[in-house]
Amino acid sequence: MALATTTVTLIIDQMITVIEDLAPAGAEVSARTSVPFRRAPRREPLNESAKGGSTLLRRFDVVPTGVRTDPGVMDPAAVLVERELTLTMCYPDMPALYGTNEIDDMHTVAEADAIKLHDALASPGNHASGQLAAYVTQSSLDRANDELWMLRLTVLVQFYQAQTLT
Amino acid sequence: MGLSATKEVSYASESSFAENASDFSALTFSKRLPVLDVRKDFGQERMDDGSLQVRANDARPGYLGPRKGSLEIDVYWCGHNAVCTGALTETWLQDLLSDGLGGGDVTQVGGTVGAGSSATSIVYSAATLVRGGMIRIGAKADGRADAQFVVVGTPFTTPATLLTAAPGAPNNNDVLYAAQIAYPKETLGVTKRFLVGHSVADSQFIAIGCQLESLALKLAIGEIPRLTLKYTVARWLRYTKTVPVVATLEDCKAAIWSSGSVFLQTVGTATRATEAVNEIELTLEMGLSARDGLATGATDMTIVSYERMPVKATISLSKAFATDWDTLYDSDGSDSTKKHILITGSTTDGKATAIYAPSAFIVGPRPQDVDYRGLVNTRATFRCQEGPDTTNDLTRSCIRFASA
Repeated sequence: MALATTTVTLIIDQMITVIEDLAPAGAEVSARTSVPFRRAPRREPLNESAKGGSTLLRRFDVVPTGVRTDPGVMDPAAVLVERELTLTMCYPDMPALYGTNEIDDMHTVAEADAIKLHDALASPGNHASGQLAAYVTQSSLDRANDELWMLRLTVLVQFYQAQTLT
Repeated sequence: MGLSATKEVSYASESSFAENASDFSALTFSKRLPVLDVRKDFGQERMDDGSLQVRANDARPGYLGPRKGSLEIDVYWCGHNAVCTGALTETWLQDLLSDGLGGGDVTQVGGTVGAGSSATSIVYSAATLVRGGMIRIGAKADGRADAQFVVVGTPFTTPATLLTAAPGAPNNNDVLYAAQIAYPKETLGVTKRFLVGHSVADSQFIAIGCQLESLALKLAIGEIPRLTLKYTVARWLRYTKTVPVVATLEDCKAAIWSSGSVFLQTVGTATRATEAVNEIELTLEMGLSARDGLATGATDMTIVSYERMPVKATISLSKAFATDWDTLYDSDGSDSTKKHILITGSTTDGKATAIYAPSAFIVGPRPQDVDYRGLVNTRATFRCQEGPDTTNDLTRSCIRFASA
């Protein structure tokens, strides 16, 4: 059976599919669990200047951020690659943004989601074909501005990438 | 010019030891390996002539010695690389391990669990199991068998009795996954030949009559398990081939060690007992003795056959401090105190790996307190020995490697 290979783009696509299929953290945390994970619109990068409207809740993006490493010896037709990706998830939080009954701390919601995201992305059964591993660490949860919490996970992915040497 | 870090490493099984030793043109290769690293130590010495010369500055060329060497490859310990719900197809790694260790089994067939199964008695259909074999049942977090490996005892026909209980009784129609098994045996499997080829013209090297000298495992929770296979080489030669010699690069579906378990229970007792282990180490000492002889197929070759020396396998486990291993250390080593150990490393179909030791006892230093990330842990080293079921080579083997 031929070696399965993949690319960073395909891995990110697979991660988005996995995350969008996730049910948000348990109902005991908040009524806001009914808001699903959705990829942010491509033209609205998620950064500290994002405005905290309620539509940003659980909007995320995944981008390659770290260095690319080619460890060890591999075959002329394939190379083993390690690449660091960053998953950013938004949690807008303003008084009464979700109505008057929402009393859970937003950081509690985000932390609970982070555990789910970690397990989903690290599970070998959720990986793209050709991907060997995803090492997930929660790198930060902080207030980007007065209206927004941002959860960041660092995902180190390891995969086989096809190469052509001429 | 050429990149040293890209190499083709291919191999084939030899029909007879070091066949075509003096005619490398006839050698073919069947599988191209996904290696992480390859270290070839091929050598031949031109020995000093040593004769006395009349003048101080004179010397004579010496004589050619034998071509010998060793070859080491690092690979990930992959699973079956394909679903294990039906018949198995032997992978390249299973081929290398089973011929290197001496024993292998790929005759198990996956199927489904039938109604009326318990955690230790499995009713099944459409499957084939072997005595002493290892299988996997169910799905991770299903609340029943949890996709963990279990060991098949006797009877192995339905309903099969397990030597190690599953976490829970599987339901009707839960999936039963077969596994490839490699194990040490007193007789060795067939030898291999390897090609290490750069894409640089003429820079291809072939080793023949190769047998597994040692197998080292690098196991760490949260890491992909790695194997280092070191081969003794009977003869080698630089021989021009056009790279790639084998068109297809073999697959390597591996997974980090997580979602598994460490089953540790008294030999003969199947009741599930697991240890919350933080660190796992496995060492495998297995000597390979090469016989030299005159009846070789080439003028610069001396090895005529190999024999395996005794295998010594030890498993070292570290867990949160407790006194039970200290107590076990004081026991007299009688059968009633020996343990069987089943380590499920990962549980994803096609990527799953596991280790089973049918009988083990504590050796080495008395378990004390050891540091684990600033926490107080205790560590015990278990020496693996022949299993209590001496029916065949598989059931006798002191350590078994399963991939599914």
